[in-house]
Amino acid sequence: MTRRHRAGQGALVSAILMTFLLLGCESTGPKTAVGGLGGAAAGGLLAAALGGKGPGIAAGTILGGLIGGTIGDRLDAADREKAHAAASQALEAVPSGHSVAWQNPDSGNTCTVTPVRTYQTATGQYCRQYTQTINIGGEKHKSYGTACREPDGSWRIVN
Amino acid sequence: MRRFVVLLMMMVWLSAPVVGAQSQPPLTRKQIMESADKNRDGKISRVEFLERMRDAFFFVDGNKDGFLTIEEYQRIPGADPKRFARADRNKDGKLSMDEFLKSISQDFDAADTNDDGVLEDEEVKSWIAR
Repeated sequence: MTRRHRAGQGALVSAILMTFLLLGCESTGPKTAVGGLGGAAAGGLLAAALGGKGPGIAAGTILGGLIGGTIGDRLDAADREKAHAAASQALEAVPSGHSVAWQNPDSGNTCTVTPVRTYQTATGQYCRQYTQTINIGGEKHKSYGTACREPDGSWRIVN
Repeated sequence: MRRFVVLLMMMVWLSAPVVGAQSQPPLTRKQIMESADKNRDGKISRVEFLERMRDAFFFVDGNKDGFLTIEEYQRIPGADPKRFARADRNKDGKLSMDEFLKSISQDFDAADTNDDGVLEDEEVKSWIAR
C-alpha cells in the first residue's frame, strides 16, 4: 500500500467519524417521552384534574368528627347537615384548590371546604387533606384535616 | 392542529360541571394550565405538576379501586393505548398511581425543553399540541 493510498484511507475514516459526530449532535426535533403517556393525554389529565367530578356525583357520608370542639357545639343541626354535605361534595368531586361553600341564612353561619392535596396510602386508599374555614357568629375559624375514602364511598376523618 | 382544537373542546367540556356549579364562564386553556401553578410564579414545577396529576388519577379512577384500567384511561382525550401498555411496567393490565406518576413524570421531562426543571406557559402550550 502506498503512502498516498494510506493518507486517502485516513481521510475517509476521519470523514466518517466526523459525520457520526455531527449526526450525534444534530437535534432530532422536540423531546419525546419514551415511556410517557403523551402530551395530549397529559393535557386531558390536567383538564380532568381541574374538572373534578361535577356536582351531580352522589357524595358519600362523612365518618368521624368534621367539626368538633367548642366550634362544633355552636352549630345547629341544619349547620351540621350542610357542613357534612359540603365536605362530602368537596372530597369526592372537587379538585384540590377549589372550594365548596355553604351558608345557613337562619343562623348566619358560613363555611368553605377546600381539598388541598390528594394522595394514596401504602394500601392504595385515597386520602385528601383539606382546609375548612367556618364563620360562626362573626368569628372566622380555620382548620386543617385529612379524610380517607372507605371502600363503601364514605369519607373518614383521620385527623 | 385539529387534535389541539379537539383537546381544547374536551378541556372546556370536562371543566363544565364544576364551572357550571359555580355559575362561572367556561375556563380557558390558560386558566386550566394556571390551575397547576400553585405558587402563582407563572411556571409549573414538577411538584406542582405531580400534585395535579394525583388529583387527575383520583378523578379518572372511576371505581376508586386505586388503579387505572385501560377503559378508565381511554376516557381521557388524547389517550394512547400503546403508551398505557408501556406505562404498565408490571404488565398487570392496569396502572398503579406509582406507575402512572413515573410515566407522566417522563412527559414532564419531555415538555421541559430547556431543561430548567419547570414548565413555562409556552412549553405547556407546545407540549399538549404535539
